[in-house]
Amino acid sequence: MEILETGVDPRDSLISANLDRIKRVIIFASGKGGVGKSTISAHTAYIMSERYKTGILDLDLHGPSIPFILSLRDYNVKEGEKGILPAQVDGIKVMSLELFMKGKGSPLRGNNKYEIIKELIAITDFGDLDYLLVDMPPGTGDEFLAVLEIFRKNGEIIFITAPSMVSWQVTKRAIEIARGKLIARGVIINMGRNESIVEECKVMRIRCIGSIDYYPYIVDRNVGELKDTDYFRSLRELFQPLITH
Amino acid sequence: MHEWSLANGIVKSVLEEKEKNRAKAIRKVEISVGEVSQIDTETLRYAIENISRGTPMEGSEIMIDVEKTELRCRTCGHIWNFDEVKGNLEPVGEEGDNAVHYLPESISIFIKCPVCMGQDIEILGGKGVSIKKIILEVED
Ligand SMILES: [Zn+2]
Repeated sequence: MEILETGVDPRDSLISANLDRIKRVIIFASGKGGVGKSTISAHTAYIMSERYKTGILDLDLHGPSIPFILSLRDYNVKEGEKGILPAQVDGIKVMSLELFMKGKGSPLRGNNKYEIIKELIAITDFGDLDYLLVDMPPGTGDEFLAVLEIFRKNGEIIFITAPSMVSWQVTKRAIEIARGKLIARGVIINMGRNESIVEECKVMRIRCIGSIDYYPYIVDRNVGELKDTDYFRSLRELFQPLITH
Repeated sequence: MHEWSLANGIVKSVLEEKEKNRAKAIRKVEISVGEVSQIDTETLRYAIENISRGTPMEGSEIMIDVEKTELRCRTCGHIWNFDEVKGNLEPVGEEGDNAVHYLPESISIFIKCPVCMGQDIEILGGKGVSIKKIILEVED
């Protein structure tokens, strides 16, 4: 008889069990901040939830904004048999560090952020979902690398850039880092158009999904007020080809 | 109290390891629990025994160790024990648990250094729940 000793992280099997119940994971990333990534991901979740079981995971640990955009307030952490239950708003299941920190600042260093992300995905019971959208913080730091690792099996990624070349040149770096690790669905140019970016997408062999005009009225408005606007119509059009199974 | 979901993860991982190594039996499982995660080890043990009933893990020896947690302020260097501050953590859950119970590494969001009030805090020692060792019996 031989004895074998081994050690494992029990969160890994919780994560794979949770992800097995989710049909598609779509990650929203950007190079720079302020490009409207959280707004687009929250609003896209709203559109998807009209027809599909949808969840959103806010991984912007320093500046979580999904609960605010979706007007989610006064949530108390609830537990089910298989883990923490996400908050629900307009039929969307929401998980965010903000549900725990409630307005406090988050002085977090590298490895702790990796652990928190792993923990959040391991202990949140989203149940059966058609779509889990993941809102990333800007940039290619710890959070981005954690997501590349955790969702490497079949995670899909969409890059959001502002129409400026400054924003785009940073987004390009994120595209290169994610290449081969996640399925790149394409680039969305937010708050305007830029033909040079469309051309460069071709060179980089990544699809340019399209662009969204600048709609100043979307700022600080709640989703319900926006759903019949031109902004929402263009968002629906953009995502239509992406959300059919 | 998310001991039950953690127990689920533990049993699942141990069974997966047994399969992966084509082991005949699971002799012993050593689990480490960081003090900062405030896990109730009796509940955890009960949950593991309950979930593993009827599986090859039933009857395996389960060892659960609590690892003390110390905190260190990176600003002034002060070191203190987690026990001294755990009473200050506000509950966020319906069952009265605080955020650090669920997300041990988030502690710097919720506490300050008692000396300089700094919030750049490092966890020394125990954090979350991990499986330190699984002892498997393998056919020669
Ligand atoms: Zn200090």
